[in-house]
Amino acid sequence: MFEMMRNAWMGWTEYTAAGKLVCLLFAAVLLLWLKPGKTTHKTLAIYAGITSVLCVFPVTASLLMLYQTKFYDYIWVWNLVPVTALIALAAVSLFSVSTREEGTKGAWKKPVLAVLLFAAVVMLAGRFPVSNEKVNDIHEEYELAERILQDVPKDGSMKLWAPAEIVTCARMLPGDIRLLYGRDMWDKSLDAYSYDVYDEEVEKCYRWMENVAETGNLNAVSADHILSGFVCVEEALGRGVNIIVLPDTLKPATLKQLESLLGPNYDETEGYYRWNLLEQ
Amino acid sequence: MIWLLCLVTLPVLWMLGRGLWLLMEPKAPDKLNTFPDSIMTGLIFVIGLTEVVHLFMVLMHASLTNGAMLFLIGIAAGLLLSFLILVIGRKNLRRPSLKFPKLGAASWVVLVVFVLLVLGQAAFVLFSGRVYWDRDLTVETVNTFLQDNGAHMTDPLTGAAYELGMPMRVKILCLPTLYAVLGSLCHLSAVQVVLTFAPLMVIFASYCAFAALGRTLFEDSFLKRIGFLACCAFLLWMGSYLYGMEGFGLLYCGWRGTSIRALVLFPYALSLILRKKWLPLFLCFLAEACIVWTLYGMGLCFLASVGMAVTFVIVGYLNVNEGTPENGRNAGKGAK
Repeated sequence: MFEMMRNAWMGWTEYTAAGKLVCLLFAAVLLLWLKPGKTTHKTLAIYAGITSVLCVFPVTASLLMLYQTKFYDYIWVWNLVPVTALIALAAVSLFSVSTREEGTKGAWKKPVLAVLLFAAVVMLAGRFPVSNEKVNDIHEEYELAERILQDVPKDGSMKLWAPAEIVTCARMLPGDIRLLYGRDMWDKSLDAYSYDVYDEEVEKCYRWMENVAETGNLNAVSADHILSGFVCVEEALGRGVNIIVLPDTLKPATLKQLESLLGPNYDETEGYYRWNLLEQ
Repeated sequence: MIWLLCLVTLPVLWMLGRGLWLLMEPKAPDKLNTFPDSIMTGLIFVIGLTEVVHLFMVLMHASLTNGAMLFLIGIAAGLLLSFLILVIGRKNLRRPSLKFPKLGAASWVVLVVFVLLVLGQAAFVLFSGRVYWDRDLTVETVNTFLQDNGAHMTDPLTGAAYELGMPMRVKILCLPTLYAVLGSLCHLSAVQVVLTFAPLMVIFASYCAFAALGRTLFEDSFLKRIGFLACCAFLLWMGSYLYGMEGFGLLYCGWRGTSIRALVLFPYALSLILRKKWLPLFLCFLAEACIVWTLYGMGLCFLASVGMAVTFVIVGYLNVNEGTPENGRNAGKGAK
């Protein structure tokens, strides 16, 4: 429970550090509470105010996180609060006040200024189009995998071992390319979708692949031991891998040693070396 | 093909929902029952039907082909039922006015702004190529369903057979089956259905849900309703900076169950609560349980209903305590 409260508090600080739309929400609640209006408006405002407070305080936020199940992070408790709808409701209520002098000359100026001011406030509180999250790019990631693997048979006969940026999209391509490991090797949130786990040998293969992509060396240093390239490659081959993709940043000595293991027939494409062992 | 699927989906959803809404609300529809209600009811029907198909595939080990066939039969049966209800219940239907309502200059301006904002969002989804597929494996799952011609037969991330299996509470969620069925029927790839078609549909459905809520809040003024929608659209643009926010879900990961819940089911549930439509609200609870992981079927829509019920009591108490006869009458209306 204490851990959950800590996560809730960290989640709240991250939520408010990224942008200030939640401040607009509280301002909207205040406006709708104080301004005379319909019962439905006040009901929604009171509901949003109460649920916002529940989402902020760690104890109540933890209970909400327990309710929504541990599968979801803190940020999802804010789905209980109608943030967008309430701010929009308050904005429209405010604009309707500014149009009370309708029919008089120049009556349009006040509402237009109100709208522009509202837009400026929202743009300062929010952020677009830059997201704080690193979003994926179909044109870069998916299409790269598509190009690298375009002539590889996708009938389930091929098993691929490649750097993370290619493994990410390999299973999204039409067809069936098997993988030595999937995205859940580094995206641990995906572990919730399956009870299966990778054994240590496969994890070593992943660490070696990412290390060779970075350093270009055949042997990788990991924690307190050395990952031998030969051992990892033999392990992958033993598990049925027949397509191996490596970045072309390999050192010439490394490439020569891999040729001795995998054969000299490989393709060089899009900045990668590709061995197709079924064709050899 | 995606455009054709979009063009077919909208009238099918409307037709499904129109009759089913009349079945749930058989008394003469009041002016708050509109096009958004029909679309939303149709969408909830489709989610329910997909859940049946999904459970059929998972528990009976049926193929995707058979599941798609069952889905089509279900849609056809729903359309037929809806048509029959409309024919039988036509006396209770409010005839739609064919005259275009006269809008003021301000309404036109706001309407144009709203349409531009929404078209911008649709264009962003279609052309920017920016998506957020971290923490989610819908595309791989749908692709695997299409390849295996079945549901949850192999690990979507590796293609290998499961050794220990997967949690049942994830296994029963039906969205991958919906996307796989649509992909199978329309010969679309997983990427096309999940990353393009689904987000476009979610954009449309979310504004239907917000329109239903807007109509509830501002039943007396078209300008206020369209202003509400325009503000929502603008806020969704500006509120897309963090994973988990509504705008982020709309623009970067619209296919996910959490996005559909936040953008479609939740605003619609709020409008149903404010209008005291309990049966459609209950269907929202069920729809949410079919698409996101919930606590034994109780999700955020259910919790929101409980919260709103408490709020009605508070509002009623506050109105009574304010003491004027008019407020006393208002308390009666608001607290029920």
